[in-house]
Amino acid sequence: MTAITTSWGSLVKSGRDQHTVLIPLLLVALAACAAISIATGAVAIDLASLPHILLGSEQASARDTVIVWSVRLPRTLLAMLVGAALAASGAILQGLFRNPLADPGLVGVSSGSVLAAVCTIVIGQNMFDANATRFLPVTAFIGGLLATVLLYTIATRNGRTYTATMLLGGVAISAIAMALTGVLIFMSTEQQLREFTFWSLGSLAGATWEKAASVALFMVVALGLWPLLARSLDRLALGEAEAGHMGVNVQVLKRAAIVATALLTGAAVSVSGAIGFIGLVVPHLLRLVMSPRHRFLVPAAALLGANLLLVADMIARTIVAPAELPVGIVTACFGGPVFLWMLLTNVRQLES
Amino acid sequence: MFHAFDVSFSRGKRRIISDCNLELRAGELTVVIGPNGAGKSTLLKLLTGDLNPSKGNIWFDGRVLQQWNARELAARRAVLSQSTSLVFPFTVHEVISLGFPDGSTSQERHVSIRDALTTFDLKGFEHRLFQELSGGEQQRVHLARVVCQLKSSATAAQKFLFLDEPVSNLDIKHQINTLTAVRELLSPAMGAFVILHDLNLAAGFADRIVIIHDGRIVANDSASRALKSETLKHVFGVDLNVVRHGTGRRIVLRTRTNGVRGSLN
Repeated sequence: MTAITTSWGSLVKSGRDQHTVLIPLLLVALAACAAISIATGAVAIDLASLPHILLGSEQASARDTVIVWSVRLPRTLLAMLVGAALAASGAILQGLFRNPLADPGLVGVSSGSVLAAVCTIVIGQNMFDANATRFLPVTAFIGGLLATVLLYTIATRNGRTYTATMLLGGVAISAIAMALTGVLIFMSTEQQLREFTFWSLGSLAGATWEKAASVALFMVVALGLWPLLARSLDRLALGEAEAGHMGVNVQVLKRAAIVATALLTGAAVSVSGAIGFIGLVVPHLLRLVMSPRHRFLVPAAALLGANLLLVADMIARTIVAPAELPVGIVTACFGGPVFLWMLLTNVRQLES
Repeated sequence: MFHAFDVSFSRGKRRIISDCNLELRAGELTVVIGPNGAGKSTLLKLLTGDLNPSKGNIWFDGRVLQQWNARELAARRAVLSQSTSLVFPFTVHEVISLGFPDGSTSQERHVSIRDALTTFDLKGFEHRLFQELSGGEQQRVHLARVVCQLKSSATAAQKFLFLDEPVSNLDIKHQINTLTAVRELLSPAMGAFVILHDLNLAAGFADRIVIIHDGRIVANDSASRALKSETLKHVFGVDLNVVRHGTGRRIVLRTRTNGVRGSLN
């Protein structure tokens, strides 16, 4: 342990290449968490038999193979993808707002997506098409996009984002979106009503291969934007005017960052509801141990987010077994206190 | 070169800059002085393209400023603003790296950054966290950043440095070091436009002094000719003596009998 801390310390001193250690470390941890997540559940599966099941070897029991392939594997994948999407979207949003307290859940982006999703379910199903739910990822993206644009307009004046305005604007947007969602719930059928808990608290229950694939698709699009954004977001950290002086087309950058955030949040919300705090906590923890350069911060955030949500989901589905907690409750339990701690350590900046 | 033709700028009904004509030449250090609120920073923002003139045009190298895109402009001019804040824990090395063009190699950056840090008396500061530096040190890091931005662009065309009060947080030694470093950068392909408050620094370092009063340019001449007691009295409302030093430069002194009301002595 001492050896690890010493080598860590010398790394920090000698330069800013902690990502060369951190990213492989997170990958290994993710593989381990994924294996444990697949093995854990109502039916325990022996870790040693996992390779046989995954490779389709004949030694695997038929029952275990069905459980893994149709239940555990899609759920594990979904948890990883949603965690990665939320954390990456938090990192980009914080870069855009130049503020470590921005989080898609806190500032109303998620509630915008939730409102759009509930709209699709209630209004879409009743009035247009019983299969309206297949448009969920798209409508959730649009809802998140509108909320982000609205919040940006409210919180940023003359190129400066005001933390208090951003957080309170987010509260207001969330309140309005929740009220409208409430109205829709009032109009909904009993089955739709039950789904409301799912949307507002966030859950990974009901994971399917299709859902995992749709998040993966959106993530690929958003992460395609990220290398183009990374250096410009770093420059934006000095302010809009300064970024412009260093050659950044600030208007294009802001639009791209808003679209990337909305894509990632929308994709996550459309399959798992509003899971909070991952986007807030993950980039913040990483900036304590690595460089805030977005080139490495965003992928590292995606990996840590995947790890955290996997662990949170394992807790959610085992702690009250055979029932299951919505995973959003678990993330709020550890995210809320971390948020408070961040607020208290940033008091000076907040009150300026 | 930069050329401002009849440039005016208003915010709401208030005229901030009126009918300014100005030419910035490479090889020259142009210093702008004037009282608080005279429009110095606004003029700088107009010249850097942060603000668009309400009337008139600014030309750079044969093209109106608005026709340049951000990337082209970044290769030809760098800007130090009066106040910049940084929220994330970047190191000094990382902050300066932001000024380099996208294709630069880390080897190039490493060498230029080390040189720039030496120039601004920040040797060994590479891996310090920017947020933990004092105000004066932060200001010198930003100076190193804008200097690296211009030096790292490969073009042989003219380049310009715009500095808004670059020495406001610096002690006398670093004020002199900084302005000396800026002078040493000047070349037939490099000019500088600097806002200063200290008249003696202006007199000691400028090739050309521009005096702004109520949004108008009231003097624009060589450093020795622009500074006149009458002009300074008119602009700043203070009695000042302009004395010729043996070097040919001017020194500005407060006269003993000056009667500024409310003055402490």
